[in-house]
Amino acid sequence: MRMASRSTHRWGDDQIGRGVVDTQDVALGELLDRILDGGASIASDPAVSLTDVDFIVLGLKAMLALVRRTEIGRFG
Amino acid sequence: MIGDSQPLAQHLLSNLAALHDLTRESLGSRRSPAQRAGARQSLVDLGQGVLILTLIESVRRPLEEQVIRLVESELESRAQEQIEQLCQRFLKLDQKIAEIRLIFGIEEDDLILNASTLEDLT
Amino acid sequence: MADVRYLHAITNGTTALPPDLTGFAGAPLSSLNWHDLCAVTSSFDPATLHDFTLEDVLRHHALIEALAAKGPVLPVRFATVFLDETAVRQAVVKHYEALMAELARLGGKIEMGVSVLWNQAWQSDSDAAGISADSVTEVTGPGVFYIKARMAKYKQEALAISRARSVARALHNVLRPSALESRYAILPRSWVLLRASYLLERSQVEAFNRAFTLVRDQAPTLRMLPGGPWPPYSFFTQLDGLKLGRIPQLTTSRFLGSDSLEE
Repeated sequence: MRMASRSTHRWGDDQIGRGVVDTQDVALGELLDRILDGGASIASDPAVSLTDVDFIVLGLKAMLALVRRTEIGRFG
Repeated sequence: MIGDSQPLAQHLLSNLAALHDLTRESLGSRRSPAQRAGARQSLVDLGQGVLILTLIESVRRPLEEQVIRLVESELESRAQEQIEQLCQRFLKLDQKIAEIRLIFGIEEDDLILNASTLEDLT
Repeated sequence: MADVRYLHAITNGTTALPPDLTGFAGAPLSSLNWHDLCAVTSSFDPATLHDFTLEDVLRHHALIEALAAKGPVLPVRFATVFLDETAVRQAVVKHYEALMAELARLGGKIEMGVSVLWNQAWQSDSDAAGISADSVTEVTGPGVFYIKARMAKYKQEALAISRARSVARALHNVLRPSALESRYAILPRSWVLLRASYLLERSQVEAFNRAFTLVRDQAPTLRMLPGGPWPPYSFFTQLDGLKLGRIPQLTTSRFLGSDSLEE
């Protein structure tokens, strides 16, 4: 049975401990995350840009707000 | 209180597929500019996979915290069976999520809401 | 679609483009000027939108660094692609004021990073928090067992977050004075406790490195991975007032090829 979580969540060691992610990979990952998360995002008009995800994210945020208001609020 | 959580949990679980469709629909049923330009469907799906899982995670967490409080409150044994049934719904949801992550190759860290960023600490 | 343009960066228009620099697949760079801004673009085959590799990301990065060596540069988010030059111009015009402000604030500046890695030594604290939450004293069904496991996970996560915050405060006290701005990401990856980023003038780098050596020596139990100098990727205020972040399908694990779930 596959579970997305385990009974004791072991932070980090399953990656670094097993040597799956070594220090060089970690360093590269730190740069990669910065490049992919950052930079100016100005292509927010789907009519002109091909990166269609901006309005997808907008849709997601709207849905989250909706779910939070209507469902979570009920439980306090 | 048990009664309150059940319908939503059931809705989440049994409507996972519907949730997926709903997300697709709200994003626009027309083909996206990227798709029109030839971007492979699998990559568009991956992006949607990340978004859908992000949505699901952000909803299930507060629900699970509610259920945890329920379990911790040590209700009388008559309620135990109901609690167990409720918890099993969340277990099944977790298994479904694991399947989706496996298919797309999405790690927990990849979800959008995961990284909480603090701005300049003043 | 021969007109598609990849937008690499924004400069102030006075920076000459190095002749040997190209975009993807050797596409030559072109400058699109609008008042005091210049959009650096290259032609791009949209069919390759699904094919971005690690090399492409690093190429995007290398081009920005090469431009930064010549003058003030604003990196643009990876994979920002427009239908044609007119669309590029539209976007620049629309965001002109904000882009000018960002270029003034970030142009010519660099980012230094300090990543504090998860330490094996903390595992026992983490396990203890998990075990106390995870106690199964009576016969429980698989549902309750699962929920108790989730409870353990949330408690361990809360512990890790609180640890990350205190490390952030400690780093902040020593390193922030050597910088212009700072940003912190808590548990961005399961192997990274804290990702600290500092915005600096180039002239501040030496003093910053001295301060880093100091803080590293002061905390020998912390594994700190320094990084930079880099372009200031982490310091953008979001235009349109929305924090949009990365394009979802560009997951880092895809580029690094990490294992999928294992059990």
